[in-house]
Amino acid sequence: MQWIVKLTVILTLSYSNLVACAGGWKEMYIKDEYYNFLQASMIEMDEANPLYKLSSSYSAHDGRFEYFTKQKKEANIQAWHDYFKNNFSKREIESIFYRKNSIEKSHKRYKNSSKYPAFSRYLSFLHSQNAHAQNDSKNAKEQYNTVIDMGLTLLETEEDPFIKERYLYVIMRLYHHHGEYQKTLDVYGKYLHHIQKESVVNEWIIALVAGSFQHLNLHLKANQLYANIFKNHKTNAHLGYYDFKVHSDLEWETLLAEAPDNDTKALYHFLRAMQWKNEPLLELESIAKIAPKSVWFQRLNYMIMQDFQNQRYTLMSQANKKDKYFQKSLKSYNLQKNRFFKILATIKEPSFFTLYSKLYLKTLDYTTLKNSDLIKLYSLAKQEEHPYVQLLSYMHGLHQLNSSSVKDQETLDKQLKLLLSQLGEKKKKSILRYTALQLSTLYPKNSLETHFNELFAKNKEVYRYQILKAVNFEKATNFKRYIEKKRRSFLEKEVFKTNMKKLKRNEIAKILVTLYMQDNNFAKARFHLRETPRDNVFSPYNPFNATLSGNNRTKSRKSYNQREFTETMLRLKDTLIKEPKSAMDHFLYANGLYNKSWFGNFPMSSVLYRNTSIYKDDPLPKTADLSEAEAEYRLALEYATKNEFKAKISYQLLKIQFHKALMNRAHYSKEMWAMPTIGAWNDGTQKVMKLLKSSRDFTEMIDNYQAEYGHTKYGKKMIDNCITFRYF
Amino acid sequence: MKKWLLFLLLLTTLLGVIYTQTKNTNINYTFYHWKQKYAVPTDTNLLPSYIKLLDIAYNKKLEIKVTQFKTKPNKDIVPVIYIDNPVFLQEQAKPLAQKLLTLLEKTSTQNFTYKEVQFDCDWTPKTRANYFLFLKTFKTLSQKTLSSTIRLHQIKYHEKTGVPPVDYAVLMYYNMSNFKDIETKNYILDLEVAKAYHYNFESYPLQLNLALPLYAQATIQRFEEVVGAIEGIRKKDLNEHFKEIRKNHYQVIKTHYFKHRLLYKDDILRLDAVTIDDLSLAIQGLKKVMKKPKEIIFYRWGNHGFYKDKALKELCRW
Repeated sequence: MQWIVKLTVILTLSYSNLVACAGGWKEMYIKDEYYNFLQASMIEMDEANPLYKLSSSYSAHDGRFEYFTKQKKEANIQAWHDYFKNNFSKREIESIFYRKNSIEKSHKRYKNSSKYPAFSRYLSFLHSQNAHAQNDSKNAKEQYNTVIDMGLTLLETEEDPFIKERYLYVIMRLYHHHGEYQKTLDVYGKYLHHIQKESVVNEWIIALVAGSFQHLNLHLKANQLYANIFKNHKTNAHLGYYDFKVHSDLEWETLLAEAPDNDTKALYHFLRAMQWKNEPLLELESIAKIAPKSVWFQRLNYMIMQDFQNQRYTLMSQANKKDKYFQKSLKSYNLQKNRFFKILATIKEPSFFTLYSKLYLKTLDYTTLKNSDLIKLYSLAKQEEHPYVQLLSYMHGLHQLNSSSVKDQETLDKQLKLLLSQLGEKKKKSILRYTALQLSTLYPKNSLETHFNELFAKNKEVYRYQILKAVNFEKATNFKRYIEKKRRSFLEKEVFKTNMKKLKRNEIAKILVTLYMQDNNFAKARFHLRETPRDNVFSPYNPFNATLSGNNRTKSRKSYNQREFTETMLRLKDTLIKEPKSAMDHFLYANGLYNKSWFGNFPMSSVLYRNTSIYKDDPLPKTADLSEAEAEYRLALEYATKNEFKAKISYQLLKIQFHKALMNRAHYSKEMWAMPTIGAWNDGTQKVMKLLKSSRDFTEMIDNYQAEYGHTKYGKKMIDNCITFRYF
Repeated sequence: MKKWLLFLLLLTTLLGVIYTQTKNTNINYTFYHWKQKYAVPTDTNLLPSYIKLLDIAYNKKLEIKVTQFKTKPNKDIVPVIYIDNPVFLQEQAKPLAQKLLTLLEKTSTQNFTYKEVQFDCDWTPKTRANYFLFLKTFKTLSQKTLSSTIRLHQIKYHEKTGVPPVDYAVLMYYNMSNFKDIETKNYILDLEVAKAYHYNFESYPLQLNLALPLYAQATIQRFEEVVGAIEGIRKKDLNEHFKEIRKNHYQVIKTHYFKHRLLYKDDILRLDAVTIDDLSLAIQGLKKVMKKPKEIIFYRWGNHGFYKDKALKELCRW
């Protein structure tokens, strides 16, 4: 259980929720992988075969169909290419059959061809039957019968075996398409001996026979054929995958009873497992009893391992929640895993993949592996599988780390580099991402290293905006330290390189400017402004103005960019050192601070990424802190002498109190999920007033303002025009 | 004098009781028809009025399933259009409204007339704006009465979830628990869960009608997870391969096919159903918070045979 403890401190990986709303349930799909240490070659499978890869979405089905459509097309073109004995290029054949309206054009082109008369007749027939093969032409029954009769005559009389076989297929397809399943089987039976066993058309004919059996409720024969299609066909194996369907105990028992050997029985169990509502793990258990050495055990094991890997990842991404759903998912995962281990324990002579499955899952659980197990695994591994044995050893070492220091990380660098040099690109990325995720648990919480490792681990591709968001409220000095860090481990270099290359030219300086602005360190901001291009962030408003509106976004002749703003703030600061009792300079300086905050007219001066809502459950943004602005306004008020000016300063202080009242989440009612705003569609004004009335500081302050400044010209204007006063 | 006063008091109380009792009047009830093929015998006493006509999903492209009418429905029905939420992440509201209206009109000319259309979409914050724009557009184009189904949480949190721009809403008072949670007591109707959502009815701005469940199902649990469900399963359907382990829970004692579904040894089936008493309690609870609906719609046609007409009629007194 060590990993649970470790995972509870793992970063929040925002990922689609496992607990779906009502109606959804488990399917054999995996989410977008961030680590995948399984390889189809371990079970001697082609990585490209989509039937053995659990995919990330429902569109995986479409992907499978597209894959086999391509296989079918290529095989067909090859068959015609061979038939024409290279007299037509593959491209020409493609244009005869596979372009838009190609049959329409081709049959005209090759009409009465003296060189290929059989082909010419066949194209004409293809053209005649086209409409009936593509549409449900119920209105053209007569025409359909004529086409069928024509086809049957051609089939009977054709002497070219290649073309004859194709007539048979086309006629069977027509019958099938029109629901005449018995006729499909009859014509097949009659011309069976004309089919060439190794031809591509044979595969399509067999599929039509299986489909006809299925429609005629001859499920036993249909399933036997579908299993054969799945096992042996190159161009339509997916039909076996999807259409092998058992409906009752009797059907299943008969199927098993008629199976020639245990390997075939294992194939049936495998296909049953591929129906998403059945249970692959329990089908694997059945295969383990009858055919543990079967290829179907290996293949199902491979698919189950993908599912385990995905479940484990989903758990990891939810570990920080520790809620009851996480606990339940964990319990279920452990139940499945223990059952899986029991199944593997029954295998007397495990293959490399069987043993690897067990040790890999144990490693993911932070279990220390026995040396004897690793030696055994190494002995079973083929040359290209040796890196996977080293991988388990590396993962174990990584799990043992208890500090994120560069020195500790460097102890694994050599092993990591060696692994990366031995594995392909996808696996390299997996190892780096897994390493980054593990290390993110060791860095101080909320440190930049944690954020950046998290970004690296959870995204196949990191985007610029994600980096800006991660840094948004970081202390400038922390970011500077991170950028200028002299010694980095190998992984740290990878993370740094990957993340930083997403930034634009000079953007590091720009980030530093903004973060220093955020920290009110204008001198440092000015220093880094020298490194940034001229077009730094600007405001169309004057950030030293204070107006009636809460955010001071009132048209102004003078606009400011970060550079001008910083210069002005520094000038004001200098003046205040010389004249600490200058009310106007305190006021202007306070306006600058207020306007660069979340609430003012120049918020983008101090953030890299701005969210225009403040949500109840999110931490308050750093730029919502108005304490320094408030302190400056209070000094301005202290040193001001004229009542009109005091009214203006006090109005700004009232605004700050207003924002404080709105940020007080303790007063939010259940239906308030974000900071309300006046005039918003969801009763915003009422909510704002409710919060203001529940703030004693604000109510006292607004009463005082009316009493003290209601008689001044400025105060009167504000009271008359500001909506808030109407409610008090 | 005292006697007169006492008599007057008794009379007032009696009249009050009589008034309260006679106040409970019948509400019309009808059914949802929710299958892809409409094949309800025309001589049936009470034909369903709300018929799911279009089933819209998005899977790489818009997929529209139109209900096939094998028998004649009532002349005037309320066609219901079910739209899977992801549709509104992909499709533009206005053209979609035009498209569905055209399809609806085409289907109706062959089979029925309608004055009202109902939409069923479990919208989310991401799809709300698009769905609501769709409803507004549909209203403008069709000039029909529009209603929308809503879930309980959409009343409690209506300020957050929004109120659909329709003429009235139908509260679907079922499926309020977590389907995936094996601790769910009864996924179809759990009054304790429902009660937690009995808020903000008074401020909900739309008139509400009510939809109640009339169905049963078995939830399949394996490795302490819910892995699926079989519709229409009641206790009487279970065979010798099941062993009752606790109330409504049955353990599978032999791997076998059951209703075309493969169940494995040690799977657990939880039978969920609703009785007239459950529905009566649901209505009692709702009376405290909800105004009297104009109509109650039972989900779904096909299961009414398990309930007596008289009991349903009695249930619909408010």
